[in-house]
Amino acid sequence: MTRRIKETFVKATMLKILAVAVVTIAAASYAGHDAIVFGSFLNEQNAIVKRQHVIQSLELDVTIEPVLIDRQTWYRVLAYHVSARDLLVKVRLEGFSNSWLLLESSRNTATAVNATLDRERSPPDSPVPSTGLAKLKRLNAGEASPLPKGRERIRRDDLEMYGDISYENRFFGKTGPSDQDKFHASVTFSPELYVRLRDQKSSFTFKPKFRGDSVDSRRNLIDIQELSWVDVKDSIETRVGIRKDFWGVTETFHRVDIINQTDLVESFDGEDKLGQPMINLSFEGNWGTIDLYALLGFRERTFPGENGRLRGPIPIDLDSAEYESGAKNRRIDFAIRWNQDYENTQLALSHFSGTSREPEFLSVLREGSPSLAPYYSVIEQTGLELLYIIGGMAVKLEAISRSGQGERFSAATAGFEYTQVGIFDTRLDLGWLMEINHDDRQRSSPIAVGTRLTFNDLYDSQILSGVLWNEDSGETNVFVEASRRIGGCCKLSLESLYFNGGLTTNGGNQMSEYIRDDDFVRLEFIYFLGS
Amino acid sequence: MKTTRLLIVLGHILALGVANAASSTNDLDRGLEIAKASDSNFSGYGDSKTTLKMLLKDRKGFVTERVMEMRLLEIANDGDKSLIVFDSPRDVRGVAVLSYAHKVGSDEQWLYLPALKRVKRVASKNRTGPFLGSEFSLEDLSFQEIEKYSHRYIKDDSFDGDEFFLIERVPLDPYSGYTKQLVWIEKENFLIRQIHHYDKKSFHLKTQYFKNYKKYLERIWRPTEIEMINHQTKKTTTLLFEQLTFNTGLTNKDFTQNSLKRAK
Repeated sequence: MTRRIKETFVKATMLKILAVAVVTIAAASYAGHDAIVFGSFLNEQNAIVKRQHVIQSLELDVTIEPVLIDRQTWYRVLAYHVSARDLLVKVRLEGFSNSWLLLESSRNTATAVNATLDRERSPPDSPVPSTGLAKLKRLNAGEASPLPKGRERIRRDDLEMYGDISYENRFFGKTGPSDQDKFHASVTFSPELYVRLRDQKSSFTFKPKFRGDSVDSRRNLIDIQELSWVDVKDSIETRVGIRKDFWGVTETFHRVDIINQTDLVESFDGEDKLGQPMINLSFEGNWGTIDLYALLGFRERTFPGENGRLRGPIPIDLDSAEYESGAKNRRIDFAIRWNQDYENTQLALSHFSGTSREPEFLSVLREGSPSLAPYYSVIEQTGLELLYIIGGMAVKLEAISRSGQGERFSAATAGFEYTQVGIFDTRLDLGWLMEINHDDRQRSSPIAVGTRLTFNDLYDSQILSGVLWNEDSGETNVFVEASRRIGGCCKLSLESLYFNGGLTTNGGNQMSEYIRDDDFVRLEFIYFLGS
Repeated sequence: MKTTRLLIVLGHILALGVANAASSTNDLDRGLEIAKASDSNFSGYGDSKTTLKMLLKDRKGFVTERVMEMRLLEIANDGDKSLIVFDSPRDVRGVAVLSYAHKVGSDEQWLYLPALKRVKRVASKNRTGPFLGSEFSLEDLSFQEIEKYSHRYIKDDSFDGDEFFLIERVPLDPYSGYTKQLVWIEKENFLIRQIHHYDKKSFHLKTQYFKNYKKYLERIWRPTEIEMINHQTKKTTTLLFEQLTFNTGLTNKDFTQNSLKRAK
């Protein structure tokens, strides 16, 4: 086989010699041949330089032909050759990797019909051909697309409406300590309207959320998750309105995340948030991304009511919320975050100055009975996020230092995440997660260990399970979360949480003692709206 | 002047003859040469946008469809950047993946989860498993930079009336899901038409067919259909590229974490 290839090359080279001779003698005789095109230029001088460059490197006879494309004259640098096709490989290997074949048969038609052209290979002011693609001048989409006009850009609808409706049942193993029901049901409706404006550079989103609960009126909710306008100009993104934003890298505890208030009644894990009014400017550059936030006003954390489960012994009295700031919940808070990605590392630093999302509690008497009022201090919180990737493992750290709630304190979550792909020769992936949580305010550092089983099937089935273990108190919480898509429209998810209060004599806290009987299974059916 | 040229050309011929003497080295060179020629069909495209339909067919013939939008940007002297945004099924609408392929070193990848508004950096080793339940892995879908393989020319081959070069490609990335790949490259235009993927146990796991090539910008070839057959599961995934356009004006600014967040 190699012999045959050798022959081809010898033949090609021979033909090359022949072609050079023939072309030199009779420049007009190449008309019936294919050609290798090295580039096309709007500036004739650049074409001349390119031609010289090709001649010096390849010993080919190169010509420049003006081509009229879209009412512009392009100077095309090309070499006609009897075996242009054979030569092309060699030419590409010689460093002219973007050269291409202009077939004799297609020459007339292709040029006229497709109005196709190469990019200009170098800027007009510099006659030196540039190989960096990034430096190439871009042409308008209309000039170069082989598709008919009107289909040149992928344009989605300018207005999209979708959303979801979900029905949720929570089954508690026992009646609550305050005689709360075992069975809770709720319905959530969250439609979304998305409008894309001005050639995809700005957009508008409106996403309200409505929730109704059968037992706990505190779980009834009308919230605007998003009502915002986003505009992109150069490398600056302006986001104005009610929004959600997440900071952080870890999975079990989110130390750094502080922009949005937690919707604690939606889910006990604190992953659900309320919309926050803000003005957010985001700058991107080689140095990373800087986000500046002005947070306009404050949202109180949601807490279960008297009939609700997963709460402490004394219901939180939302009407008596107190603030350190004289502006109460109208204070304007500020935040800044810088983040940057390096080859294997992701680093972010942030600072928040404003009303704490996490309240302390004041004992108050309300109508003669003891009650707890949330107290929101003004805090200064500096945060660090670090993620380092080694092979298939991501090592993570989140740490904060906060002042304003008593003495300055630190808290951190550190751990790793690792995924085994295709375990036991199946399609299944098994992810491992371990995180340790430290908080100066607590006596011990709970450890979370979890696994995520991804089935990689048609239904995106997955099971997340884990244990949160507090060595000091002996408390152990076990959780299982599973989800699966049903048909093209729906999704079923299951969440289960099991509390083991541990040795109460050894410092188990009051909260966890109280929710010991709140083991539950939550089943949610989600229907997705829209096309 | 003419004599000098002739001498240079003769020199080339002699050099080729010497190279041929060492046969195995030559097969490697030849393999690389063919791979490079094939690769140049893909390079020089600048940027592109396409709607990607993924048809997943199980062994009973039941078909599930997924739709996503894919944006690509060619980067000089490095791997390309890509942004994939999911449109359906509905529960993953708005989920987006941003990838920076690198010719040397690991690729970088970020996942955007719209429900949590969270951008998550992903360890790029996890690229060998099935992608969204399909028969494609992320590795199959990402750019197959020449520098990431060693190539060896095996033989000339022909079927269906077309002539092919058959080359063997061995991934240099220790985290690749494959031990080797056999690649059939059509001689006429150096288009990849078929790949046999061999898994870690050197079992011929999957066969990939590239169909209906179309030429864009007079020199860039793209298949409009790619089919992957898994011989173990007997499942098939077909990728359909619709509304493929080039020179759409995408720049580096459209492949950042901020653009990932607003990609829907």
